[in-house]
Amino acid sequence: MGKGLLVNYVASPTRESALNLAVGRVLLGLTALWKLFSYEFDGVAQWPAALFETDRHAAFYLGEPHLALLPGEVALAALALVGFTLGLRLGLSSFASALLLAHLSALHYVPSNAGSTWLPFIYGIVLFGVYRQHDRFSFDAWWARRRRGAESGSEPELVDMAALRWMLVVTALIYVFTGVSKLLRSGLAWATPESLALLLHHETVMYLVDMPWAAQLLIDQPAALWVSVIATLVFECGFLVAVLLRAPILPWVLGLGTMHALIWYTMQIFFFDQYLLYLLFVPWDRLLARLAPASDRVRRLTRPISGRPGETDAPE
Amino acid sequence: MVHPQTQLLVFVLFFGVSALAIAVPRWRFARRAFTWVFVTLLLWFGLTGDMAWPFFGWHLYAYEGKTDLTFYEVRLADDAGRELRLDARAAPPTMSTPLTRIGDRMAHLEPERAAPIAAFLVDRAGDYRQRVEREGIARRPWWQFPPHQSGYRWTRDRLTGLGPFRELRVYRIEATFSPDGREVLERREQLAARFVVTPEGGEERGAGDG
Repeated sequence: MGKGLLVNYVASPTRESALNLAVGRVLLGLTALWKLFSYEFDGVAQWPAALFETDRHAAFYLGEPHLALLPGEVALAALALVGFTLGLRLGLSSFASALLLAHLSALHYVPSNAGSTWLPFIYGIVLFGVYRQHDRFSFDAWWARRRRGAESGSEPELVDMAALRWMLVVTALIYVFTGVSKLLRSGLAWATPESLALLLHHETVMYLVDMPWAAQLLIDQPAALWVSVIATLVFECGFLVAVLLRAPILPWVLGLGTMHALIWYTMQIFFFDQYLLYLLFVPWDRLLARLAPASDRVRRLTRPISGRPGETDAPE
Repeated sequence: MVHPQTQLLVFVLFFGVSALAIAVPRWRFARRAFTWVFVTLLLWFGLTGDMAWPFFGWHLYAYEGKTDLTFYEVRLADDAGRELRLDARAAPPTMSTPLTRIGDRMAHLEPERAAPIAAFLVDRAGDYRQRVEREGIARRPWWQFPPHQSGYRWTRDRLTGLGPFRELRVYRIEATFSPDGREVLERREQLAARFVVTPEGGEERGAGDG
């Protein structure tokens, strides 16, 4: 199964148990629900029609009566997400969740940039719907087994982690886009200490009052600025390369996580969502096996095939 | 900007193949069509920087920092002309960055289209102001998803001495920085749009629960 603290699902396309898929589905579903209730859609509904009608997303605006009913659409999305989280009618609940969230986030994007942070979750929900046949711990799968009277052991040996593999590639690809776009639009001019110092200062002038202490610290140290610009490009572009080359992903995730924290401290912008996406790649099956190696139930959840309790991982 | 018809096409195409792949997951063609469409659209929009929901360009901070900066700032003014920058928290879910985008748009729209947006913002600002004056700083509920942007915020001090908000003003601001980005060399402001909001029925507050 590999020993990394995070799983590169391109390197390890299968696992002995479907537990990580179930945890991934629950993580996506609960995060989406959390975002859904935090995102002030009632606030969206109060903005005047003129803003929507003149926006690039005017096509998603269905008129003032619909806007008044937006809480209803949110409630439907929440219902679909609950089903998705439980793995209930996973085909329908994943599709409905994704569709509704895509529409809601498109409208949310009109008064707020944060609408774009929904997209990785929408992709994940669709992927978990498309590849739900592997999701053995979903309610649907459990129900089907119960109806069949199937016994464990009649399942195929290894579980294809397609949904998580795709999520890893998509997450890494998004970082590549942010990295490559800098080179495409600015070339190496982006990767200079002056450029970063100016960007930080712009941020303060436009959106803040005083420069954050961390930004000031950075601007005062050209060496720190150099490290920041180079590290940003390396981590944003390198993560996907590591994934596709089947290398361990932990150093890349740590680097990117640090980058997000630094962006928070220097620019007051926080992509907290990314940390939740990283959790998708934690080896929950191995974690559980380590915590309770002797438990029969845990053995069934983490290694239904081999049944060997919590030992160190078999070689690839 | 991607044409609205193309936007709809992309949306329908993506959810169409998704529906197919979800409905008949064991049909290899459906799975393959989904994969190809998904990856192609991801790559197309990710590399061009265009946007057609649910696909995004992700070209964030792609331009190198320049010594010249132009942006729009939304401010409120009372009868005496005293001004205050608008705190984006007054009108959720907007934040500081999109608020400048909205200010930019208001400065370029026909007045009759921009006026309702201005009236809305002034109305929200009035309610939010009362909240800040009551609570000191408007705090988010503890359970809310962490905000994506913090930024400029109102405090009781900032609101002191201001009368009721009567106007919304959009300023076009041009700043020039030193090449090392450490100081602002020059800052010029120009009033780009002005909206006088008359209170209706003698009340500042709008009909909403605010």
